[in-house]
Amino acid sequence: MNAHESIMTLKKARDAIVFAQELPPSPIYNIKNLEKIVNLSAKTIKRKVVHLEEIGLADYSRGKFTIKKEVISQPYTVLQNIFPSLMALKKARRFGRHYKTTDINFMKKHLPKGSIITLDHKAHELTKFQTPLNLHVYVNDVKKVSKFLKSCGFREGKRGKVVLLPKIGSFEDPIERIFLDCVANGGRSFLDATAIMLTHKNMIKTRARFTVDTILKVQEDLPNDAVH
Amino acid sequence: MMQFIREAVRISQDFENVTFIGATAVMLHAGEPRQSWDLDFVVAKQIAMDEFLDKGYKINQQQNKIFTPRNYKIDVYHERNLNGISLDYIIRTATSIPIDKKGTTVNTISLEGLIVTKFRAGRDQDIEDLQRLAVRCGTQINWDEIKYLAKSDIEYALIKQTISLYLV
Repeated sequence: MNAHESIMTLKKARDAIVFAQELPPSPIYNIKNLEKIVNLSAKTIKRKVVHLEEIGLADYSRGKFTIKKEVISQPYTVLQNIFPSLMALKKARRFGRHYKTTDINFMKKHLPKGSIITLDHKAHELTKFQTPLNLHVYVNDVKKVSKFLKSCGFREGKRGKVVLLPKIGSFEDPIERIFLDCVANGGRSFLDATAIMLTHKNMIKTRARFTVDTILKVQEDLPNDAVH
Repeated sequence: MMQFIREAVRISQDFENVTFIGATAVMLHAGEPRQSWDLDFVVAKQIAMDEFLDKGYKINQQQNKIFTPRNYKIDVYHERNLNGISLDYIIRTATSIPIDKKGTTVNTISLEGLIVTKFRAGRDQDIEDLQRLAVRCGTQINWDEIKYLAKSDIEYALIKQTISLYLV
């Protein structure tokens, strides 16, 4: 996907993002119950949720959905910057063999040329804020690496700890890219993004929005020597 | 993960009736580490500052923080409740998680109590924790207990829907 295509995709999803930004806070939404609240038909709501799901901002199943609130509430300019990360995460493929740290150690030993580690492990390296769980790796050729992993006994599924990502967007500024990936991934990675912002402020150009609660929580739990 | 578990064991040896909550509890139930360097736990009786100091814990009064002798930050809950669940209930229904083959265990909030507290906290990281619990422990959930803890049928239905969304 080139820059023009990604701008068009994001523009297409703009209505859906505005819709999600205006939803009342809830851990989960039921399309049927939302009809009256948002004054839209179930069909229209579903269309918007599918748009959000396409760009990795929602999980949908049988009339219910969750959204990445912290990510969706970012200003449009930030959403534009994290869009390549969102697309890469959407295309992520997960692999596991023993479903333990040994899988991660194996991948680290066999990192293909040109691969770039991001999210959990890289954020931990930068901030020491949170223990890493999965190994997310950008690779030049996902098909080739997945074939290699499978030949070594790995299976593709939802529980694997090795995650292959296609290289989408710019990697010129590595710390900025890790930060954007963390914002885009949401959840606990959003805390990593906050920690990176606090520890590497001068190296981050994208001004993502963090709630005071999130900043205070991360500030409180950051190891004392992590802040530059 | 082992370092957190070792720390949880040491804290449990230092104080009576320690029951871990929050991300530490998620780690103990799900068997996967993903947490910051702090451990949250509930105790039946308030621990006096002198007791902390006697056991080598460090207190930063300026920042109102307590650290274990191994420099892990701890948050201790001894009064009120946790997202609407009483501390008494948390201690009474705590799950004992075996740590090794020698019979060492660590007490943690029950899976059901953890799910309800995480659901009520409702931040994106809590939803991610719920997702992890659904994937790793989804089949072990006692739904009658969740129903008992839920404030209403609506809350129970929402919790069930959230977990079902991520069940593998």
